[in-house]
Amino acid sequence: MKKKIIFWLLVVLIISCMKMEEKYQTIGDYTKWKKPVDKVLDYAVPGHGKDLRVIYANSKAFEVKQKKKGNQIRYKFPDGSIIVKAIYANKADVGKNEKMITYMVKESKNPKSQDNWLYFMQKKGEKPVLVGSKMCIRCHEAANETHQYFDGNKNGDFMDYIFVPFNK
Amino acid sequence: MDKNQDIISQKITFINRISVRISIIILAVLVLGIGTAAFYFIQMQNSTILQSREKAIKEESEVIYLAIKNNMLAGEARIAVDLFKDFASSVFVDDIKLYRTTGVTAFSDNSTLETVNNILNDKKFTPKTKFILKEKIENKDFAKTVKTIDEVFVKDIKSENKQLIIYQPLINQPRCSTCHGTGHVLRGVLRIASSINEPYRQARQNSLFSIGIYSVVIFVLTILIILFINKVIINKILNIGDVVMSVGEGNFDSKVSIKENNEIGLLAKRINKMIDGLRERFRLTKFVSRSTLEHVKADNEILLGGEKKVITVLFTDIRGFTHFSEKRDPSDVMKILNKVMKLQSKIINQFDGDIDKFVGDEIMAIFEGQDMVLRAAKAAEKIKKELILSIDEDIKTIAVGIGINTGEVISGNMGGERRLDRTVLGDTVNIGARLCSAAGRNVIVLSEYSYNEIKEFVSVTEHNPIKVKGKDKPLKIYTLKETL
Repeated sequence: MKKKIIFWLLVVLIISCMKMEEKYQTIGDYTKWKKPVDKVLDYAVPGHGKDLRVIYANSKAFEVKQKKKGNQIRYKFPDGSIIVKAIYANKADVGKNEKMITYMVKESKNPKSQDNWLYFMQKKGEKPVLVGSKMCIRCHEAANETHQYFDGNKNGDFMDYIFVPFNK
Repeated sequence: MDKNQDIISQKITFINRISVRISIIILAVLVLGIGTAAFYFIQMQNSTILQSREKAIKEESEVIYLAIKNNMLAGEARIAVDLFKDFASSVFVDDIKLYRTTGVTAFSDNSTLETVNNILNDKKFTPKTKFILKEKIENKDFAKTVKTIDEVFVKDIKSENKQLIIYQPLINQPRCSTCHGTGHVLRGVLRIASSINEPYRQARQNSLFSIGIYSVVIFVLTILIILFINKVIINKILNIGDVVMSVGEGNFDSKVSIKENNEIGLLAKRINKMIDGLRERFRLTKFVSRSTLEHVKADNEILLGGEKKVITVLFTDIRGFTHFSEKRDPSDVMKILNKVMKLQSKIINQFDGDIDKFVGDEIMAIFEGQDMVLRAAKAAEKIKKELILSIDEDIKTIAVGIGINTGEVISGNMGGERRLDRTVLGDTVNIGARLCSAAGRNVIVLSEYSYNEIKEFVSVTEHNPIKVKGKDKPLKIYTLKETL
């Protein structure tokens, strides 16, 4: 009897975990979402090289909260925020033929999240894959320090791992 | 008696002892039950010790990684190398090295420096002349880190120096890419090796200590249980057994002295009550003949009625008893009478006779089986001699007259439901009684029937036939001189 209960609990857990990620297997038509930055990002970055990038975010992401702590501002995106980075090989493909999309989903209660974010990668024609390694997070850690992108985060604010300034 | 000796000397094998069996069961329960729980607990405890140390090592490695990552931004290899040396000599780590993605140790040549200068299009960094030893790492864990760009943890516990080795990918972050370029994600791999000898030693010590304590506890518990069972149960049962054995040997004054208010105490009370009952019944047996006793033993259902058989009947009667008792105190009379009766009873039993009844100063005894007549004659002769030769002042003047007859009788149970008597009836018995009445002091009278059975073995005096009450025809009698 005990073994049966444990088995079914595991099944429910697995299913619920699957369901959590399955939820984000399709994110809908992100191109209809608002862009936190209008321009196409055309400078080279590690991981994407010279590929062009366009950033989209769902409405939830724009509910990002700010909190002042001493001299630092701390940003916090609510759970359910989705930020998409559409990647294009060249200018002609922008908006039409993305090579790949990567997207971050805020899921603080998900055990697979890394610093409360799930990182997905979807190559053209393939299903999205949850990135388990620290390849993405190790780079996005730098968003919480001064860097050379956008406004450079000169104040060293805690940007909740997002380089793109929201609502600034 | 031999049977009792067999019972007394019977040894109980070690494994059959109740205390041993119960101890084995309790030991098995303790070992399997509590042992399983204890084993699981020790395993969990050890696992916690090891996991917490591993967790601490992972957290330390994260700190080291952040320190190195930020330190490297200065771009000065010497500072980075010194930092590595400091970490390597700290208590946190056994060894720390940075490798390029090719597997070659960083800071072992100027290749990276030259690449940076090319990217910056400026000879910003001066080529070095001193390098750390060039080594190349080639193992599947390093290769996996490079391929997956993910941490790899390796637990090396086979060798004497147990280590947790962490391969940390050093990511080409935005600030790093300013100098190192944007064409790659992975800058290098940090290999941090930390000793985990201490937690394993602690875990081993914990296990040994726990096993030691557990063994002592089990041992002490087992001893205590055995002692307890022996004291509370076994010894008391053996005590009861001793009393039962004593009762079996006829000692009805034995009592179980256990007074506890438990099951053993209750058993003791019941045993004592049983002994009281047995004592009562045993005393009752003295009031019935041996044949009655044997009949009761043999017969499951006591029925009224009898059977015909041939027996020898012996009657003794104290001569002049009435006159004797008139002059004496009743208690003295009883005392003397009992002495004489005891003497006669003993002799009759010696010759395998059975006393049917005592009637005042008279005894009626029955002899059955082989040589019954000769045995009766010998018993009578001995009674006579012992009374004559007695030195007991009380009985040396006592004389008996004895009559012996042989013939068919009816032997059986007579009476009612609540009170029965087992006896013999018939002409043979009556004649026996008459012969006794006819016998003078210290005279043994044999009937013709009895004499005919033993004439080769006795010396007698033949007498003229006598007339006895209830018989028309005179009876031929003989007086016994001696048995041959």
